[in-house]
Amino acid sequence: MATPMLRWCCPGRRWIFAGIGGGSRHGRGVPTGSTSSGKKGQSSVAQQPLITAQKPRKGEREWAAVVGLEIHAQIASNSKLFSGSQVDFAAPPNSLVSFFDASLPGTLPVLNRRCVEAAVMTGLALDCHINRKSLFDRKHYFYADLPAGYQITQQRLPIAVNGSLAYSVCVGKRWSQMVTRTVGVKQIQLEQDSGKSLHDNLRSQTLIDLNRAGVGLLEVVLEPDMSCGEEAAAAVRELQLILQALGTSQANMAEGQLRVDANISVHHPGEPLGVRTEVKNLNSARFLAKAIDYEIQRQISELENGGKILNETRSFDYKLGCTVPMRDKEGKQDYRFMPEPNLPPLLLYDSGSLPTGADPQQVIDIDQLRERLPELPRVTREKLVRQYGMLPEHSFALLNEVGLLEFFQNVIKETRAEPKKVTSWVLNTFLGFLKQQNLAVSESPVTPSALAELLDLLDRKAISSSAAKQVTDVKKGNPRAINKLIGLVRRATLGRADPTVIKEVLERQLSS
Amino acid sequence: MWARAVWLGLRASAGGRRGFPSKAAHQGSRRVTAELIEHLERLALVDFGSQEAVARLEKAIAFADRLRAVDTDGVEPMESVLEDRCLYLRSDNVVEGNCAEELLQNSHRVVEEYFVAPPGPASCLMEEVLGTENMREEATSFIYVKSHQDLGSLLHQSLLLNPEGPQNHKF
Repeated sequence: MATPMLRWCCPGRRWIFAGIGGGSRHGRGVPTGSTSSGKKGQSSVAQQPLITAQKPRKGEREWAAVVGLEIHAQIASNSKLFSGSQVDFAAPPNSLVSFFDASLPGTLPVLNRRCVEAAVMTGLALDCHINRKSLFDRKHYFYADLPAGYQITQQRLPIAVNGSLAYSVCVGKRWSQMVTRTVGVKQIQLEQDSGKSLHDNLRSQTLIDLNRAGVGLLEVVLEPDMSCGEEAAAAVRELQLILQALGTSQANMAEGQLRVDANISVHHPGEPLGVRTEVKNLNSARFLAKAIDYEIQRQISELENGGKILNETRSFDYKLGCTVPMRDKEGKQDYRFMPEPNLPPLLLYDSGSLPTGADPQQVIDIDQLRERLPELPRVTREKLVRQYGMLPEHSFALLNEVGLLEFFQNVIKETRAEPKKVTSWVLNTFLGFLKQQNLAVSESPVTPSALAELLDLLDRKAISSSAAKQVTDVKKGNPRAINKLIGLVRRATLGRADPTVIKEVLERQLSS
Repeated sequence: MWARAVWLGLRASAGGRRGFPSKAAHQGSRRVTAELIEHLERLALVDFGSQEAVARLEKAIAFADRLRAVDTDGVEPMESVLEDRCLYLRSDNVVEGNCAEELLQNSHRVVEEYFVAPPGPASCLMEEVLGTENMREEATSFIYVKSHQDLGSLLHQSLLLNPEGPQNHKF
């Protein structure tokens, strides 16, 4: 699911409390606790252009927001992290559950090799240091969907640390001004997913499905280097593309394969960091930026009004467009971390340290994995810009839609038209058509060959560009356009071409 | 036994070099406060019902305190008795599952093919396993058995020096 390209992004990375007059309690569009309105989310976003235009008034101090992210990505593997039951999104309840997943006494965890490889590959792609030795721990808390009463994770010594993720945002008024920002990757760790609880409020009961319990997760912790919702959304989007390119996770937010929690605080520049809140349940690409921006505004207005920020966990309410406290998590959780006694340390090797005569199935060679890493999105985009002379934002757009890059490359292969023409047609006409018809690239009635032929005709000046656009109209199912087309071709050939022949040629072309 | 395991866990989290952050007990204090007892009861679903139980806990802590006599400066903590063992890596094949019926038989309440838990996070697990009529003591003994199950298998592995490492045992 592609996120629309960004139009602006916290210029100057500073926030201003937009109050009406001096010291008004309820600034326009800035939400406070009591005056909740349905349009809250929207108004805080619509507010931005105003804020950027204003300079801080006398006595009004700037705010800076600090955003860190914890991203959980479900590992694309056949079986779970510590057991041999299947990983699948849609299956009859509790049908993909082993005795270990159900936490029956006497069962033990057995680590899945594929999950370790996925973690190492992701760490390498994010320029992390891979820890040759990492450890597993138990994180204890009681919840219905956690049968064991603890989650096996890697809190003390995770598998990868100290990396970075580069992402791009649009700044300034012009859509095409893109800058690259970097966010630090604090660590990547392997951990278990929990089951799913479905709340039946009618009969006041909770139904538990353990199919998801024990599925391998990669937790990617991003440092608080981001300062607004747009940056966070862009970073998440880039991580999504990287995971998909690596094949380590399908990272589909709609199917719950990618979940984001945000840690947000505000402070005045130059002063110490403020109290942070954790916002959970950010499972939609569309609402990620909105939710974070809402929380930033909420904190600013709370502090401006003399209130205090509680170190609490909040949830984003999609319907109301605002964050609300999560009642269950009042008070700081004590997870009583302890080493997982059933798992020895995880040891990884490189070509220099491989133990001789070891079973290859039982050792993981980091160098081998590094060699086999697929091309990362960043590299693909750079190549596109170099090879075809397109603008960076075009390369972003090509990678932003599933299958679009492949489509583009197939058209390039079959046409003699200039790459710039191809780029323009694919991104404007073709993509526009798909969006209008709400189709994925894979569902397109127009094949790469068809588009390539059309562009060839255009290139040879056999038809004009308006005629070519009309062909796409015909493709969309507008038969009257074909007559117009015949007329245009006649004119182009200065009346020399026989109309019947033209019609035949066109029909042949269009039916391909 | 259980109280001692809890105390060791607390101590590791409070004083270890690569320790976990946690609400540590008062270092060196002999009295266990009512606040700590409440905290432990909430976290671990144990029941220190009587003053006698609290006194026993304090004695256990004092007994474990003797570990402090050992000078561990410059010594790396041992995280696991398995630290010299090879962590077995399983191939990514589907070999388990498809036993919903069997698993659901363990549950006190079932709706279609879902386990039923009453609302409320802390109590649901225990009530699900033991039924709604459970006594606190039964909950305690369940935790006792589970933690000792792990310790037992640990000993089993160390004593028999199983070269294949941890296996997925089913009883």
